[in-house]
Amino acid sequence: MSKTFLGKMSAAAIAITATATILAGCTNNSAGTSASGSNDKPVSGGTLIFARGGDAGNIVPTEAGGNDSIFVVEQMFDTLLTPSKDGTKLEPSLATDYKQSDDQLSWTFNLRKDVKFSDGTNMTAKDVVFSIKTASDPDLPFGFVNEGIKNVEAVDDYTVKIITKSPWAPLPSDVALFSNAIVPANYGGKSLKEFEKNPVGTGPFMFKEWKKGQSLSLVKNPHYWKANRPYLDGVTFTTVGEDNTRLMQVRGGQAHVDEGPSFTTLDSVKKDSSVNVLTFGSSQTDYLIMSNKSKPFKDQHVRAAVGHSVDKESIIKAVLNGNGTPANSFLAPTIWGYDKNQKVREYDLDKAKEELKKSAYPNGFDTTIEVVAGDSGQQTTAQIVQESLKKIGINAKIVTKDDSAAGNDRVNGTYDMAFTLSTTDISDPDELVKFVAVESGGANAMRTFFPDEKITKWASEAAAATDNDKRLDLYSKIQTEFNEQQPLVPLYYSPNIYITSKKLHDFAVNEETGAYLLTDAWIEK
Amino acid sequence: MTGKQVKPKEYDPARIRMFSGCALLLVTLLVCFIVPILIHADPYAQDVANGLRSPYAEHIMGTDALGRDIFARLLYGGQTDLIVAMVAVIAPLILGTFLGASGGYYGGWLDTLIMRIADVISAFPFYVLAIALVFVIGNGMGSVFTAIAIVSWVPYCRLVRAEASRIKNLDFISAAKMGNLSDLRIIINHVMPNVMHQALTYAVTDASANIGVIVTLSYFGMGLVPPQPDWGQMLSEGQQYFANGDYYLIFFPALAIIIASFAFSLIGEGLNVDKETR
Amino acid sequence: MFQRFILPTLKRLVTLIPVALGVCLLTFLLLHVAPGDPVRLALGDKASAEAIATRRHEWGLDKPLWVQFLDFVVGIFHGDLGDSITLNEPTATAIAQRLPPTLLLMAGGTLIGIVLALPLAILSTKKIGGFFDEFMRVFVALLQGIPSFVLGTFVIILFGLQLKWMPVGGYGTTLMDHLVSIVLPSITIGIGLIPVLFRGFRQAILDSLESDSVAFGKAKGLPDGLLKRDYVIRPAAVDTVNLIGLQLGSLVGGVVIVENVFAIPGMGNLMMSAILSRDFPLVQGVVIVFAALVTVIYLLTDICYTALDPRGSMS
Repeated sequence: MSKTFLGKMSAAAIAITATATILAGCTNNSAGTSASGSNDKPVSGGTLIFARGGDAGNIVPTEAGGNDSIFVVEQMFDTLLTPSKDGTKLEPSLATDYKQSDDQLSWTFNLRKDVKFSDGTNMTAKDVVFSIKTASDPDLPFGFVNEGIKNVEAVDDYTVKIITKSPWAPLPSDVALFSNAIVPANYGGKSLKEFEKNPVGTGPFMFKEWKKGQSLSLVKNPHYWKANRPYLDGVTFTTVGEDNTRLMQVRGGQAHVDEGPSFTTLDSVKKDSSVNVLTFGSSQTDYLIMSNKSKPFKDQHVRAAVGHSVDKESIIKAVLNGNGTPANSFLAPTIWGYDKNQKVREYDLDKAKEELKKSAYPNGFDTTIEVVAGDSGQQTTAQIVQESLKKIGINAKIVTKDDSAAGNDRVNGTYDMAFTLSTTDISDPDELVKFVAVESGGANAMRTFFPDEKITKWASEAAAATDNDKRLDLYSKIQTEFNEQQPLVPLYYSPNIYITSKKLHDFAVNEETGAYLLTDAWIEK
Repeated sequence: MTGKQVKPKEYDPARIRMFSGCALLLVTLLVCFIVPILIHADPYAQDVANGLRSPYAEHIMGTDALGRDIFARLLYGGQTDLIVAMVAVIAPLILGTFLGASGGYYGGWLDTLIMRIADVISAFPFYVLAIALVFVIGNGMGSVFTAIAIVSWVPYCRLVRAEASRIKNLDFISAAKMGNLSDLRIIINHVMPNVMHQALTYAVTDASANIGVIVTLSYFGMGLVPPQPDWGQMLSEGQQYFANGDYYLIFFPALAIIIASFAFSLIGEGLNVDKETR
Repeated sequence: MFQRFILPTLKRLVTLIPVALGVCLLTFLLLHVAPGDPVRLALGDKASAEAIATRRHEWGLDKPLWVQFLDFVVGIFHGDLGDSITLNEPTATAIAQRLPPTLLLMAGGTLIGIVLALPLAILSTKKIGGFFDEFMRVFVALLQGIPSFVLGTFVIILFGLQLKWMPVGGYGTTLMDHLVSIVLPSITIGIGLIPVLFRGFRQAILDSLESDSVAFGKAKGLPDGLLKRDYVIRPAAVDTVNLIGLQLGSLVGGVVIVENVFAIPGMGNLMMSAILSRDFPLVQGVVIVFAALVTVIYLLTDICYTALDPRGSMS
């Protein structure tokens, strides 16, 4: 969500756009406000123009990486189960129901019998077997998700059995992940490269055309299994890197959706009656991370001192224009397993000084805060943190690097303090917990490289446990321990904000994964 | 010949331009360096609760998102930007002069090599190379200096080279050589005086251009590192708040940038005239 | 013809080869020395080490540097700029899509620059050292110091926000959209060009005024208007072509900034995003095309100059 360097580059066209007029000929956009009784009945037709900051990279389920790709994949492909809109449970999708075996080592899924791919062929168990087996290759970006899977078998044409290596509670959530979406067996006889050029799935929309870096067009899938859906004739994702150009396009009627508007412009946008500002919950949590490879931060008292020096309220005001809540856990409230009773260190410079006195650096030390060039949010946060740290004797210099170089430093742990964030794609906390809190969990505990044996042990116990209360208890213990050790400071939870045209109705995004929910969306005539 | 020859006047417009440029620069420098001491301005003091306030009695230019005084930041930003702009002139001048003199004087493969490198540098879009260099070296004042040095030595090099290769075949140089005058002495005594004026004009123009480079780099988040105040960064921070109608955030830094570069341009214009009227 | 145009052109092209190689090498080195990893960027923070290694191999990034460079250079000689690693399509395709806005912008900017600067220069030379001339010189000094992103911001505020004449960013989808979107950035570029163009025109007119042919024409008793047209403006135009050509070269650089300020999806934008994502083949491709553009412009300028000016031949 952070503004990229390029976004910043274009920032001159800035909010300027907010009150500007639009391309000639496209100005007749007031219909939305006049038709107040327009919440009538959904009507079919129309192509949704969806302006986003970045383009998709790869739109085959197993190959997709960033959200810009994933959210497009989810329009063309379905998974066996799908997270409910609020992220609290799983709902049937291509599978009608599922059940774990008594020995807890296999799961049986019953498939819908009326599902066709967009090319008209029937979807059966062999497609599911192929898809999930393909997605389990550990070389794939999200291959690790399937590490608990031992084998996938077709019981009959419409029944699939997934066998796990050990009892594995997150399995239903795992198969609900986009990377396990169902593609035709053997890609319908095509090579992966050919399939990438014209992917075929069971989702509400199907591939039409892709001008890389500019626009990606999908059209309605005529064979879609949900009756009378989608309402839209198609969706075109356009890539508009500049925040304010996107906003201007929605105001001018050239686009229906602006993804990721700048928080700083929201005040004025909210006063504009020609657009809607939609706020959805999200799993996004921003962190101040401290590298365990940087000597001072090996000291728990130093980390605690930093924890007491972070003024989250000020950060939220300055960065999010107030649109956020202080974080009290590395898990977001929308994630199952989040413990709302967690306590984190409050902003208190006296306590920070006390902690620092107890550390190996009672008189402070020199260190750095790394920020991504052009990311104004990180820059602002860094300056606020820097100012507080200075008051307790820690002299932090701000270092700016571009996205790629900063990413490298995080991956290698070669930084002192830095910023990062997490979102989740799965409704089960297993992935995120291992990712953020477990040093051996694939991301070196959110690149802090902080090893915590207790957390590691609890995390694997929680993955194997089938009793939900027991799992909740374990996740709660993990959060407490993590907050105590505090290799990272969870900063704030921020919502997903979309600015949409008044003509667009019933547009939503999943509050946990952020996936666009376009099946029910419709455009007023 | 056209009957429009300039009559000797009481005043010379070129001089006036130059002096007004110098005066403007001096005033700007004085304001940036003296005023902060007088008013005890603190460009770093944060007060987030009082952030984003348009100009009022306590903060005559308003406050930024972190509640810092924009006037104070503007003055301290001027200190950095002006000093960097002027100091950054030195390295390319020395580098370009050295390379140009060696190339022109000795000729041969050395000359070819130097001039090809100069061609390569000129073939790059200026800002692209500067930005790429800052990527490689990392942010901060040092890399801004280095990037400017690498990008802008070429004109000096061409200038000095032309002069050096012109004089090296002149009779008196051969005589001087025979008289055991070292190459360095010849270059200093016979090449430098002839190119000094032009090089100085370039340098002043460069100082003006350097302000542009510094603020443009900072504007794109690649230049000076926060919280060090800098006009480019102030502009880019301010632009986020346009939509809310907070023009004051960009008005003052933009004005400062224009005044400072104008001062340098005026001096350059003034210097340039001698050459034009021959 | 051959002596005057073709031979010198060919000679020029040959001397360009080392420069072109140098440009490639410098780009290549800069990109590879800069920290950062295109694979990590493409696959995200969650990708495993194996996934990274596999992709690195697919993209040929595990080969030694000099092999990668050689592959690239050999590719160019085969007319193949390679495939962009982030866009997953040939570099040439990406560039072909982004080139038209940039060319349009350069043409528009230059046109506006000339339209503004030429009359000012003519007016200014009516009375050298007069009030208007002095005013213009100061004004031009003022303009010169304004960085293009500041200028762009002012243009946006004035024409986009206050007068509300024009869209303030983006490129639209139809030809009409494109033309409308290009107006403000072209104005920004045009105004930015005024100082150099004005000085150039002014000097060129001065030079022609002092030339022998003017004296000759005067002696012939030609009327003032005719004299100006035939002996002043026309020769000045010759110098001007040269000047504009040289300016276009540096214009390419300015376009990078202006495109980003106005969110125009051109070559400058493409290049910035390619640098940021460490898309090596794409950056190299764009730089080569930029350098080629500059070179072709210089060459065309020389040819025009030679054709217009009976005196010289191409050096």
